Amino acid sequence: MLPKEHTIVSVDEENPQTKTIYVGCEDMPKPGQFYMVWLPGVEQKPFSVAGVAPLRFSVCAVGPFSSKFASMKKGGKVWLCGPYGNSFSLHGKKIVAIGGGYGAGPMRYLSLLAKKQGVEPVLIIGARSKDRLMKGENGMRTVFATDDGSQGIKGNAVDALKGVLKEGKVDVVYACGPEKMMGAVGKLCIEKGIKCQLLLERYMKCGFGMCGQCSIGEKLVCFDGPVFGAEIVEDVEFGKFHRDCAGRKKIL
Amino acid sequence: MGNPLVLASGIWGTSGMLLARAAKSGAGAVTSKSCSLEAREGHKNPTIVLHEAYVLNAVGLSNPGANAEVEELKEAKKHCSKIGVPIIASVFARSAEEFAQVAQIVMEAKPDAIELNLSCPNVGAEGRMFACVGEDAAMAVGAVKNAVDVPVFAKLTPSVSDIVGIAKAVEGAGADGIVAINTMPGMLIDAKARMPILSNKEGGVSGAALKPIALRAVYQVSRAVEIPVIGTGGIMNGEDVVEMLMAGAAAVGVGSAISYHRNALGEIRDEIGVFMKENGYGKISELVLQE
Ligand SMILES: Cc1cc2nc3c(=O)[nH]c(=O)nc-3n(C[C@H](O)[C@H](O)[C@H](O)COP(=O)(O)OP(=O)(O)OC[C@H]3O[C@@H](n4cnc5c(N)ncnc54)[C@H](O)[C@@H]3O)c2cc1C
Ligand SMILES: Cc1cc2nc3c(=O)[nH]c(=O)nc-3n(C[C@H](O)[C@H](O)[C@H](O)COP(=O)(O)O)c2cc1C
Ligand code: FES
Repeated sequence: MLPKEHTIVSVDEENPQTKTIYVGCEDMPKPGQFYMVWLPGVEQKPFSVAGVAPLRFSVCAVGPFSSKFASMKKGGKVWLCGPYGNSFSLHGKKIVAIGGGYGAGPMRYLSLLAKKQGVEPVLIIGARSKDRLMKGENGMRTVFATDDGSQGIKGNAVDALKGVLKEGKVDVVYACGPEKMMGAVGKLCIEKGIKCQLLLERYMKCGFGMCGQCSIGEKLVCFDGPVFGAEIVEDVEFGKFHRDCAGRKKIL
Repeated sequence: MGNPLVLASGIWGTSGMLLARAAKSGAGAVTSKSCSLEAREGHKNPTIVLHEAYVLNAVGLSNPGANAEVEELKEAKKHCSKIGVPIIASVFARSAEEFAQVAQIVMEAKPDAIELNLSCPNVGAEGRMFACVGEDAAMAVGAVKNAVDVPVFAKLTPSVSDIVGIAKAVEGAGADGIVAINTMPGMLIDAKARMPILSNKEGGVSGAALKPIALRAVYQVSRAVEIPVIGTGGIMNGEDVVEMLMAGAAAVGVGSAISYHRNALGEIRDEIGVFMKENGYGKISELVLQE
């Protein structure tokens, strides 16, 4: 589909580096899906849906595009193509949703949806330190974890997950964040026989299965994913490398 | 080849594992993404725009360079040779000599054929495309023919006044086959943004909208040369393949269609069989126009 113009209706500061941008767009994409966001004259990159009505994205300013996107204000215009990709599938009675970095955005959306469907969610939000944490969700059990212990438990999201698992049975674990973190979550879940779904990230040119840039093994993150079962952590390429804009293999 | 479908260059061809996937999902042969001597990052996004009726792209010939490409081709070869699917390695360069050099490098992976993407600028000829001038195209083909011992295919652009003349020139230079066509130059503008959508402003049109242009080119070229033509452009379903074969193609390239269906290659392959059965054809060779 061709890019379509939309207007930013509000912006919420999650932390100094991360903003949640609300866009006046009626689409109702599912958690896990993403849009290609075009800022004319800048670039176009993929962003995960962090909620709907209004549609929103949690943007972490790490480079030229994300810094520009995160600095946009109410009334600003963005051009969207999407939604693309598959989505998380909700099942079970109790789930854990783990978000590292901007990944807390899509995970909050998933948890809210779970609650609506009568599934009990526990939200884990992890970051290096307090000033990088994203906000929790009102009325939702949220466990914060920081590497330096400046807020919540001292440790990473995997430590927090281990804690929650000790409390009782969990049916499905969902995660979105740095690949290293998801690798650890995936391995732990395989070990413990818990179902697990991970949201992967790869450099994308098209977003709809044509260019082949977002490959991981035989799979395309945009076309077959971005949500994969925990088995993906056993793929030879997972956690090892991705392809850059020239298609060169780059170590992760 | 088990069936007439060929995965076109630049679609999925970035990785050996993806070429293998295309082979397993229904391609009779697969073409890798065009590679050059050095790595190229290509253009900034947006690079590819998808519409129901067409695709517009200006990826900018991004590729990891011929040496890295050898590894991808080897990986592809490992899987494809097991199921008898040939691999066509696509290359491009800035001069005829460099074409030969890149082709020699990728030969290390033992591809079954080399395809010359001639829709790239010839530095020695003020940057005009090789595929636009018969002599230039023939020089590139001749240089590669001398350098490798596998079949060499020349890929032509529709954006010329006399595609038949170019086809005859590459045949004269020893090309073993012709791939027609590459994308047609085009542009899209977003009215609200008041800007071209592609960062490169202009790009190449492929997909359904390209079919009539491709059919005409293949019809003309296949009547003028003896060598086989891989008819490429706008093939979205089995009936499109039948039409392309009737136009005179020996095999049929599929590119853009892959984004419109989960398993486009397998579906298209099966649709050819269904069409033939329903219409009383026994062999692919019977798919010719009525005289
Ligand atoms: C399916 C998908 C969904 C995505 N969803 C989101 C989203 O919801 N929110 C979001 O902010 N980004 C998201 N991204 C990443 C986003 O598309 C960009 O890659 C990212 O914003 C960096 O782009 P840039 O041009 O600003 O920086 P670049 O120049 O690409 O990167 C600058 C530097 O930051 C590093 N970097 C890249 N991403 C991150 C990161 N997440 N955390 C820390 N360092 C990083 C790079 O390795 C590089 O060193 C998603 C990517 C994919 C594939
Ligand atoms: C995203 C994209 C990338 C392409 N890259 C190449 C390339 O690297 N080399 C090449 O010879 N052709 C390239 N092409 C052209 C295709 O191989 C094919 O000739 C053209 O798309 C027409 O076929 P289709 O309508 O089936 O897509 C590319 C096409 C697309 C859409
Ligand atoms: S981004 Fe192009 S295939 Fe996934």
